[in-house]
Amino acid sequence: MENWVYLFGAYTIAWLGVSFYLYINTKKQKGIEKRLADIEASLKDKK
Amino acid sequence: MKTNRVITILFFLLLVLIPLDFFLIFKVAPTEKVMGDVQRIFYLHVSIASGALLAFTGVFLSSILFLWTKKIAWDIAACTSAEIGVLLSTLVLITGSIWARPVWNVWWTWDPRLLTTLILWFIYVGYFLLRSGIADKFRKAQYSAVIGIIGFIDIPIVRYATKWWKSIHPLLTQNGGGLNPVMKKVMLFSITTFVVITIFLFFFRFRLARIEERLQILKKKMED
Repeated sequence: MENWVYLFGAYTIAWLGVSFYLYINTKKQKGIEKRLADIEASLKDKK
Repeated sequence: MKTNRVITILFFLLLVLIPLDFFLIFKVAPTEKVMGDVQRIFYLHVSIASGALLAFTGVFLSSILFLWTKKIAWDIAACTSAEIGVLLSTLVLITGSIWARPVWNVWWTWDPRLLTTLILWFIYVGYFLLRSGIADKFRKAQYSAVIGIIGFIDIPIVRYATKWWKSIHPLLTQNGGGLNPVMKKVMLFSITTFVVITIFLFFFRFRLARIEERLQILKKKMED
């Protein structure tokens, strides 16, 4: 029974690790896309 | 546009592969007689290690291609692969440690396989420390490509550490590593799933890196 803790722990940490990496990068991408849109808009205004 | 399509295809493929992998690991694979259910960590641990190996191979090839062509896109590919490699090798070390506690009765031991894997992890963490310390884009790419190529030397050392030195780490390649035919098939399926996950993560991160690159160019344009 005690071994289930290790089994559950290993799978949880591995999948949380991958999910967290995807979450952080998705958030980062949204922020960059917003900044890109802002810069492109201001460049258009300059023209 | 092409990258987006690849990401979508891989995502839908993973929606099928991941639940199937869980089903095979927890329902189809038989329970190992000595270790019991904790042996099922191995399907995850070996698969993540395969993904890490693929990612570091990506760093090696992209670094060579960068030095050859001098195209910054290859540096972006190398850096992306290194990031995924570090993520996966961190998970390899953690899952291996969790498996070792009930089986070896220790969280960590200075076994050749574990030590060489830890060295590999430090090499690629060093790769990022180096990148953060150089401002010039081209010089940063050149130096990190050299580290990316040299660091790859550790991969065969990790692979053959159990053969070259006295090791207590289980061997999967010799006589099937004590796995019965069903276990072997589940292991192969699990490795395939993690190879697809690694490729998915690569394209996902590569797309972001290209957008970051575009942002830098536009920022420079604004400053000018």
